[in-house]
Amino acid sequence: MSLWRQLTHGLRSLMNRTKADQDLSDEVRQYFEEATAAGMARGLSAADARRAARLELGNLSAVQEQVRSYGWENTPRAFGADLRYAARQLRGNSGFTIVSVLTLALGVGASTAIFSVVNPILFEPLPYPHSSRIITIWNTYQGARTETAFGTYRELVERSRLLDAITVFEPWQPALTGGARPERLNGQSVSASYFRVIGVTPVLGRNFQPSEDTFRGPKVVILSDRLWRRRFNSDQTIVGHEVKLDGDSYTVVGVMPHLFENVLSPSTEIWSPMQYDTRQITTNFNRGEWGLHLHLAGRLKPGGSLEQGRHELDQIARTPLPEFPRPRWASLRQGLIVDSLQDDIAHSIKPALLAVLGAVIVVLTICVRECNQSAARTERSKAWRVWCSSCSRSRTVADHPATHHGELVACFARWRSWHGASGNGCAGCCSTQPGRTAASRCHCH
Amino acid sequence: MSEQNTDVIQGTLDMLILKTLSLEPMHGFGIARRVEQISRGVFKVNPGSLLTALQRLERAGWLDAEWRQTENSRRAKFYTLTRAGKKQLEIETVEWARRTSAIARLLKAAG
Repeated sequence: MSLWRQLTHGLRSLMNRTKADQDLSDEVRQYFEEATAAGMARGLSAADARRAARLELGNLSAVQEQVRSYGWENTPRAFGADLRYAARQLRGNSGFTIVSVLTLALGVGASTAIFSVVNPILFEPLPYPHSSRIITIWNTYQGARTETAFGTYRELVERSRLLDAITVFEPWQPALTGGARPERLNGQSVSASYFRVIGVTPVLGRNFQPSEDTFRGPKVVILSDRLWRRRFNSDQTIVGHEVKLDGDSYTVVGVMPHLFENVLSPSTEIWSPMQYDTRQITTNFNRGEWGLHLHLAGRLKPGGSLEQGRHELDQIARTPLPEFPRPRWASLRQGLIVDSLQDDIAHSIKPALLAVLGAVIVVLTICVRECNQSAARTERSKAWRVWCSSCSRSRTVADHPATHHGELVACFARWRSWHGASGNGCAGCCSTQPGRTAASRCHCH
Repeated sequence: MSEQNTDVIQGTLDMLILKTLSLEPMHGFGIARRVEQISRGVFKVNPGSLLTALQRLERAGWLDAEWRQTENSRRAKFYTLTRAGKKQLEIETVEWARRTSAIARLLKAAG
């Protein structure tokens, strides 16, 4: 009930300011008249009664101001007055306004542009399910990341308990023939678990099967959405068809979704199983299976943390087992570098991006500060004057703009002090700033 | 008026207004005069505080306000006690009695 009244009364006074002010002014005036009448009833002369009443009430404007200051509607009202004052100031200094707006626009624009570049790389999660569980695994050479060998991948797959899946991949650039003109594609040669690690499955057809990732296994490929549209006319029946790559026939087994982003190698358009020969992997190190040219990634089991994964892989690296012999160059003596995929992608550019972002924020801060300071300077240079219409005199009353009625009243108190304490007989209006409209409510009594 | 009148005790203005209006609807000046008369000039009501309090009590739903003619045919804003206001007056009266008796006991004990 009272909340409702608060709201309705406040809104009414906010919407119909003149009416509310008139009511208040009438009420105060009636109070004054009643007090005067009461004085006369006590036998005072009209003038004395008026003076007694004035003594009782004090400044009528101040009384009104006191009553008016009650209620929540004063906050939006004061805010509105501030806005109006700000707009007036800006209109009055068009040069300053244009420069400020341009400075701020450039500052805000630059910040937004940089942030929209930095945000997806540093802050937004990767577009994969549970992307925080995807990790990258690197060999270490003198503290830096280097590629790993297929043999290392095999050992980690066998020994790791905390990883759901591990995948290994390398660039592959087959020549696509059979169409109007041959084309070299950007592709990836991957282990069958590649899309399981990423957590995205083909929208047409199926994922690679482990049986396809064996030495001299069936030649199969998965296409990206872009390649499928570009070269195969979005053929819905493409799965099962053959394509010619480097002169060999490959069967298409799947097409990736339109929105799939391959952050591990963004330009990739085609994937094929790697099909390494694992028969002599523990006996003959002089083979491609032990060359250091592969990238490793894995997916942690649900609930597994990066720290746990890191710890386990480090343990494996430091404790070689006889059944997994390692050549000297892939001994893992220097350990493995394990990172989340997100951090791994950003690790080389993160400091640069943060530096640019920081610089832009500093620039924006400077812009805002500069504008504020200039605004403050312009404001201070204008003295506020009150002009009395009856004596045609104007005097500087305040260094600060009187944005609120209350301050105008305070101006009047000063104005009255030049005219002597009574100030009687002058019902002049004040104009704040020469040439600007008067606040017509201001009467001096 | 006596020279020794004092401002209304802080926090009691609302109660005094509610009590005064429980007798009959009144305008602001009427309330001020009535408080002074009944207190035999001990309490003096500040007009600014009074009008602000009236606005606050009206918003709280304890008073209704309406513009009417006074007996000397001036337009005045008359305040009436609402039902919620009557209840509030009872609460405040009880609370006041509790406090004054407590203070009285304290003073007696000290004396």
